[in-house]
Amino acid sequence: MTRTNPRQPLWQRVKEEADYKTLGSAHDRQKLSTLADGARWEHGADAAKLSTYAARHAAAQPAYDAAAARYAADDGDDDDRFAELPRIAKDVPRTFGGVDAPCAAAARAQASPAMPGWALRLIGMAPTVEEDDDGDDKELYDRRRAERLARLLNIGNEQLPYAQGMNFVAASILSECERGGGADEALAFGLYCYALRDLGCEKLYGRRLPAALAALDLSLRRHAPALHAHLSSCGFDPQLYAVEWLSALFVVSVPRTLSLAVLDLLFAGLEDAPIRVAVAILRQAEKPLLRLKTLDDLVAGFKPAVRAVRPKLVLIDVLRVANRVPLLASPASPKSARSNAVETPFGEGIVTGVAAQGRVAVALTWGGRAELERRLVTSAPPPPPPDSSPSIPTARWTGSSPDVNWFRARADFADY
Amino acid sequence: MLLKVVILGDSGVGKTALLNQFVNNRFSTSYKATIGADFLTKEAFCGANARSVAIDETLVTLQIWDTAGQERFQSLGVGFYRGADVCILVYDITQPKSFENLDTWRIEFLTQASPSDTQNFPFVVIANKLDRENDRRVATQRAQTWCAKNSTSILPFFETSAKAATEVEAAFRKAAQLALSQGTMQADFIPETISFRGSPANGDSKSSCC
Repeated sequence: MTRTNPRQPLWQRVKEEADYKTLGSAHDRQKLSTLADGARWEHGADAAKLSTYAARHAAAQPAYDAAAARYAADDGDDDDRFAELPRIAKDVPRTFGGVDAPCAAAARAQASPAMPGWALRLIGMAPTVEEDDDGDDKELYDRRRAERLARLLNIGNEQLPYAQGMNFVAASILSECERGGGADEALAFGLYCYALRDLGCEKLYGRRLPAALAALDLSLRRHAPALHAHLSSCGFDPQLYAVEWLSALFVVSVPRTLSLAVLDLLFAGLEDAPIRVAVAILRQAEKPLLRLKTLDDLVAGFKPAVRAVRPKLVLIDVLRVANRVPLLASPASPKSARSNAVETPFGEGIVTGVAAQGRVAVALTWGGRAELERRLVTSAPPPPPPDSSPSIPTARWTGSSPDVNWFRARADFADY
Repeated sequence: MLLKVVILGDSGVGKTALLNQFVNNRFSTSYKATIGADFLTKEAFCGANARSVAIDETLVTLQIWDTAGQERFQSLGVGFYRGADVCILVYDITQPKSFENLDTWRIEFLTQASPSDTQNFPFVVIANKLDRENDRRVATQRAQTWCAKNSTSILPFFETSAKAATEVEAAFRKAAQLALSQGTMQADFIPETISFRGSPANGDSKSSCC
C-alpha cells in the first residue's frame, strides 16, 4: 500500500479497545484490523468492479460534457440520458457547504462578527465583500469541484437513479479522493457506485428507505430498549431524525471524522454499518436524550446531544450492536431463484402464508415480519395454501400509503 | 407558549434560507440541501390576536420544521405534520412549476396533518426570491387569485426575499399571529365547566353508606 488511511491512528485505538474487551464477532474484529493496518477505501472494495465503474465513467464523460455545455448555454431540454441534469444542478451548489462544515447550522447560531474570517467562511458566513487575495483561485477551485460532482452524479444516474442525499455521499467521497492534490474522479465514481450498488446503500433512498428506518427502529429496540421506549412514547420516530443520517450517510449530521469513519467501515465490509452507527450514536447519547422528556424537548435538544458524542466511543460501540440479519447485505440467492420472493414497502421478503382478511404474511429479508394487503406486495405469486400451524405474532398493516404510514406497523413487528 | 410551524414547498425555493433569515437574521449562499427535516426554534413577540383588546403582548416560541422539498421525499410522514399550528407554503417567483405545485403541497399537508377544521386551518403563502424580480415568471396577481380561491378567507400572501431580508419577519409574524388566534378560537369551544366525578379514592361514588 503506497498511502494509508489518514484515520489509521483512530482505528488503532478502536481496535486496541475492541481486542482488550473482546467486543463484537471475530469477523467484525478482522475488518477492524484491516482499518488499523491503514486500509483505504479502495483496498476493501472489489478491484474488478471498481475498474468496470471507472471505465463506464470514462466512456460516458464526453456525452455528459456535451450535454452539460448545452444545458449551461440555453437552459433547454436535453437528451434522455441526462434527464436529471436540472434537478442535480439544483443540488450541486447546495452540497459542499454541508460536507465542509457539517455542523455549520449550529455554529451559525453561535457566530459573532468577532470570530476570525476563516471561521466565518467555514460556516458559510463570510462577509459578502469579495476578497482580493487569491479569491479567484478559490472560486475556480469551487467551480471545478462542483463540475466534478455534477458529472459524477449525472453519469451515476444512469444506473443509480438520483435522490437527494446521494449528493452528499458523492461529495464526501470526491473530497477524500482529492486529498493530497490529485483529483481522481474515476476512482471516486467507482467508490460511489460500489457503495450504492454493491454495498447496499441504494436501499437508503426513496421507497426503500422506510424499510431501513423500520430496521433501525427494531435494532434500537433490541440494543437500547429504555431509550427506544422513551423516544417512541414521545412520538420521536426514526423518520424524524434518521432520514438525513442514512440518506446522506451522516455526512451532514456529525463531525467529519465520524462520517468518514462510517465510510471506512462500509468499505471495509462491516455489515449494516450505517444502521449500526445510527444505533451506536443513539446509545452514546442515551443519558442526555432520556433527560429530554417531551417531543418539544427532543426537537430542541436532540441535535446538540448527538453532536456531543465522541466518535471513538461510537465506533467502539458499533461492534456491540450487530444485527442478526443484516438489512443492507445483498440477498444470498438471486430473486428469481425463489418463487415466493416479493417486494414490499418494508423491503424484500418471502411470502409465508395467508393471514386474516386476505392479507399476505411476509418474512422480510432483514428479519421483520409483516402482514400486508395484497396490493402492497408486488410481483407476488399466488401464496401457498393457508398454513394451520400457529405463527409468531405479526404486524397488521393499516396504512394507505406505504411511505407515509410505515411506522404504524413498526411497533408491532415481530422481533428477530 | 410553543407554536409549531411547518414550511413546505418545492426543492430550492428557499425554505431554509427564509428560516435562517428569520431565526438568525442572516443569509448565506452556501446552504446545504435539506434532507428529511430540520428543526429550529425562535422566540418571538407576537401581538395578541385582534379580537382581544388591551392584552399584553404574548411571548411565543416558534418551533419551525423545515422540510426537504424533493419529490422523492414528498411523503414525509404524519410525524412531520402532526400538531402543526400553522403551515407556510413557499414558491419561487422565477419557477412557475413551484407555484403550480402549491396545490399539491397544501393537499399533502391537509391529508397528513388532518386538522379538525380543514377549511380554516391557517396557511401563509410566501413568494420568495423577490431580489430576482428581473427573472420573475409568476405574476403577483396570479398568486393572489390562488390565495383567494383556496380558503373561506383569503390566505395571507407575502412577497419576500430571504437574501435582502424583505418581508421575511412580517410573513413569519403573520404566521405566528394566525396560529395564536387559531389556538384561542379552539380554546373558546371548550365548555367552561367540565363535570368530573371525584376519584374512586374519596368515596363520593358510593351511593350507599351507613
